[in-house]
Amino acid sequence: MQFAILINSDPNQSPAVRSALKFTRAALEAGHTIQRVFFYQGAVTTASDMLLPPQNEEKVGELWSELAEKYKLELVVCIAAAQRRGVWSEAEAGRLGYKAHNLRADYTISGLGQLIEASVESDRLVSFG
Amino acid sequence: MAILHTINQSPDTGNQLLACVSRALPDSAIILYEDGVYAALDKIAARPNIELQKLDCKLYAVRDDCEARGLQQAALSKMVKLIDYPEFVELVTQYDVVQAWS
Repeated sequence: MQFAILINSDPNQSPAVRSALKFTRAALEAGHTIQRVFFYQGAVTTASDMLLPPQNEEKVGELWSELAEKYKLELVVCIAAAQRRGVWSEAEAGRLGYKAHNLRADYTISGLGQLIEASVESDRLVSFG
Repeated sequence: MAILHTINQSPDTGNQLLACVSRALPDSAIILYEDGVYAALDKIAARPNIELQKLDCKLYAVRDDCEARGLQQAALSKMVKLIDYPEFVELVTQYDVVQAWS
């Protein structure tokens, strides 16, 4: 079966990003496919490469990257939510005149249309947070 | 259409559980996860405004999230079946649609 995953909450304020990771990993290990993972609202900060959690905390953005590399997942970050929270790809930062960019490799910035498409094309949309 | 409801908030911080319970049909199921698992505690499940024992759909709680919050199985409602993430995934495949109450 094909799933689309939607994550809405900031990883520093809610366990949603981690719950979604556990669900996605379990789905992939059971042989299902993930059509797309869409990071929306506060969840977009997961994609920042400039976060430094304390040493005893896992870097959840990195864990998603590892899973994405292993299973060729598409990790999509909502552009409007990302701009509001200072998550920039090199291309978007350059286009709007920002000097820095911080989007992790393995993530792409795109629009809400990608969420709608994922929900239409997959068998189930599962939301976290 | 058989619906799988998911709840990630405690009934003391939001009204998601009450809203869901009043709409859940007998062919549906509810998964409690994250802070939603507090509703699985027998003393909370049996509150007069919740009364999960009257629910005629299936009720699950994610084991990891119960353990992370120190909720031991003996304190949980007998209505509740504990599940792991692979079973969560399996339940998603068994129902027509997933409704997240958050």
